[in-house]
Amino acid sequence: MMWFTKKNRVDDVAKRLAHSPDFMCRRMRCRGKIVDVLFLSNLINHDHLQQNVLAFIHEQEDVSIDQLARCLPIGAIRICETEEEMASVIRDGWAVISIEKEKRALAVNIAEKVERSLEKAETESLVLGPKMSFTESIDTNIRILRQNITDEHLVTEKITIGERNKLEVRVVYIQDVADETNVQTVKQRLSELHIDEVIDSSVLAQLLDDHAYTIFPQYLLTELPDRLAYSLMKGRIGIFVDRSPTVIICPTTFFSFFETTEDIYLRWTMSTILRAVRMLGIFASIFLSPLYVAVITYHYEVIPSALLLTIGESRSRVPFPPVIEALFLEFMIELLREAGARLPTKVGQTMGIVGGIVLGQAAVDAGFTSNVLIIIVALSALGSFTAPSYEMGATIRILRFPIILLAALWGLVGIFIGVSLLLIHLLKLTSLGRPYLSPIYPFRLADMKYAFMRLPIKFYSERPKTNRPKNSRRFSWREAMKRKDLDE
Amino acid sequence: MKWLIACMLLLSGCVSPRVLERQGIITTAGFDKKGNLYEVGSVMLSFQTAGSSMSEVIEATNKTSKGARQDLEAQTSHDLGSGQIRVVLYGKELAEKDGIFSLTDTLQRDANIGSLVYLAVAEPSAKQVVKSKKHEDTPDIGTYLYRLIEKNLRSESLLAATLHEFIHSYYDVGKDPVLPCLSLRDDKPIIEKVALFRGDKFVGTVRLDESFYIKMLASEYNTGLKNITVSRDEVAPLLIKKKGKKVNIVMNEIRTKRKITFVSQKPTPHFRVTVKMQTEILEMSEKMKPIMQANIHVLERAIEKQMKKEIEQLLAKLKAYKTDPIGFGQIYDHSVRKLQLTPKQWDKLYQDTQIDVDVNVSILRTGTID
Repeated sequence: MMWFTKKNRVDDVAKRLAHSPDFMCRRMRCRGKIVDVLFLSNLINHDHLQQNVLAFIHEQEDVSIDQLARCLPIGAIRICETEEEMASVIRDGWAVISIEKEKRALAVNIAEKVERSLEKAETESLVLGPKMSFTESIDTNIRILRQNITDEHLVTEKITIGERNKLEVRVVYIQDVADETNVQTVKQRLSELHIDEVIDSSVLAQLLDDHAYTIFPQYLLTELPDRLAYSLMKGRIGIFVDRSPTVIICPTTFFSFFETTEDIYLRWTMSTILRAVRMLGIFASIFLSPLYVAVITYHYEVIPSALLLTIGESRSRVPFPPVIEALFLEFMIELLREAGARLPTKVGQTMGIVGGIVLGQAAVDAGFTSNVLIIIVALSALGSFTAPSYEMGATIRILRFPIILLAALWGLVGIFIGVSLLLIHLLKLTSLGRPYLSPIYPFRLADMKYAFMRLPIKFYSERPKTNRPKNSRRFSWREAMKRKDLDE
Repeated sequence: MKWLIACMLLLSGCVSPRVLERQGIITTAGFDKKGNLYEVGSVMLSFQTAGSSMSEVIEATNKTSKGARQDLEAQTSHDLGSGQIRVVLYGKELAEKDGIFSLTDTLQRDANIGSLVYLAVAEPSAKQVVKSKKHEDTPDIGTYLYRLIEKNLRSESLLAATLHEFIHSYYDVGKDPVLPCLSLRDDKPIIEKVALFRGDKFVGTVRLDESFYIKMLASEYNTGLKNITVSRDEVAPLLIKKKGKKVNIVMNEIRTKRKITFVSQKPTPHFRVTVKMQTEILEMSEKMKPIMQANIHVLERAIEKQMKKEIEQLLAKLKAYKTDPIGFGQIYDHSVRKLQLTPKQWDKLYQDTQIDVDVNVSILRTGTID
């Protein structure tokens, strides 16, 4: 009868594991008892199994679940009551020790997870500052975070999502800084997700979006631990997703997509100017080509007389209307970028040269486009690459096309219609229920220093109001403004 | 509703495109009158596929200026666009006999044409100036004329030349417009004189060195060069040689401040003009003793005396032409209470107006030799 139960348990677990070929049951006889050790051989560390489990059990005087639970030299153990529970822990790489005549079984964690080593960040590259980036393992990521933030109020709450493919998600924030409502919103949205699986944090970010029908990203994705730490300390919330090297930061504003951590590492004068250059580049990136189309099609009066001949001569060779010319060239640049991104790095570089120089020159010689437009399109492509966030860069590149079309329809008036619609849209957007265009609307003067410039650090004694921090004080403004003399 | 508005916008209200290279861009236009008909000559710039672009002069004759424009359209495959027009010329005869207001008025009404277009009087006729082939390194005669006038306005003695200023002076009671007067030397257009107007009619010209004083009195004057000739007696203490011709002095970096005060209304209008001038000496026609702090005033007084004489001569000339480019009438109008000055009234008063001139020159530097 007993034997029957025993056999039944192993079979039952095997059935629950869909008869995986790597499922193993090591049956031993110790001190007159039959001991089964069940595990998936692909998931575990075999050295660990032999030395700390199998050998250890053999050496024991008394073999029972209670005794093993007390003595096994393994950190993570748990007692399993049902076969279902056993199967699920085995799937995570644990080994289950089952002893005959005992109803309960002991599970020990001897899993060995595959992960790559810590590397430099690829999508967000920095010149100054720490270079380490997050990896695909949530345990490593949390470890990196804890090394970055030693604040005792750091909370890392665990939530599991995905109905079929279970996924561990950690909501991290500083308890006495982050806004309660924001934290509640994140947790509620996560727990209300009814979806079979989530592949990556970028997918989760889309699922958490306030507005699905918009071109603008509402959550910041970063792979830089220092950026996450900075955001958390300013009252934002981070979401770690297992198996994903990017972390979601929320809530965000439009302007947080143009900040990099390098702005903080550089001295304030440089970073203010660099940020202005970036903003200008992005502005030019959206409006240069539409302006060209509008001016050439409708408003030749505004061309300065010194430029009139240059533009006129290069245009006279082109058989297409300006809008077709501009769209053609913009399309070519997008094609180059996309091809470069899909190809391996080495081939990608050749692509850049072939596309940029050969195609560009040939297009002008063949009379497909004008010289002036090549410069404009190249400039605006360059401008869009200065956006520190990859998502925002892509948004800006796409934004150009409707505005070019509007410019072709109604000239400058069309561009202004486009800008107005864009502004209306941006004003309506929210991220985690918080206004997207803050600090411009709602107007928050104190936050301007965070969004548009960088002042000396002593001016940042308050956390940005946009994040609604519970505790906005960072340090004493009065202390910071004191002059420190050398002889003190 | 949203879609309805979108459809309405998309389906209506489209302006016809004016693509740059399809335009025959007019950079300058010249107007003359022959009998009853306007003669119009335009410089049209069209872009060439190969080589440098070319400009072409097209002409037409019609009863109205816009009618002539239609005749011009018949002569080219491009759409004529007047958006880049920079200079409009009026023949001397046309400006003298008919006045140019009706022609400037249509420019002002055309939304394509900016109000910063330069106007000028051409001698002997606008057609000849427009047809000139000599335009230095600029691509066409229109650009040449534009740069010529612009440069002289900025740094030299030209007073005003834009359409806006012309219309403004025309409508202002007690002020008359002036325009540059282009003439041909070896077939090349140059600015030699300034044309004076009464209302919109050309009445005469003054030389550029006289125009210097008009500019000085009508506005603050900065930079520029002025040559002045003083008699030997005036600067005798400074001279080494005792005999010879008159002494020429060239002043540079001139900065002036002028103040015109209205002294009294009766019996005749009486103004006092005070000019304060700071300058440096650039060139002297004769070797002089070193100019020291002690004797610099000799030079200053001599220049002042000569300038006062020249200004008074100029004012007499302006009175003879019955034109008031400096705007004394305007000051009169502003200064006398409860008066609605009419041009007719001012014409009468202007002839009897007494104007005292007071010039105050201070020489800041005498050049880097000392």
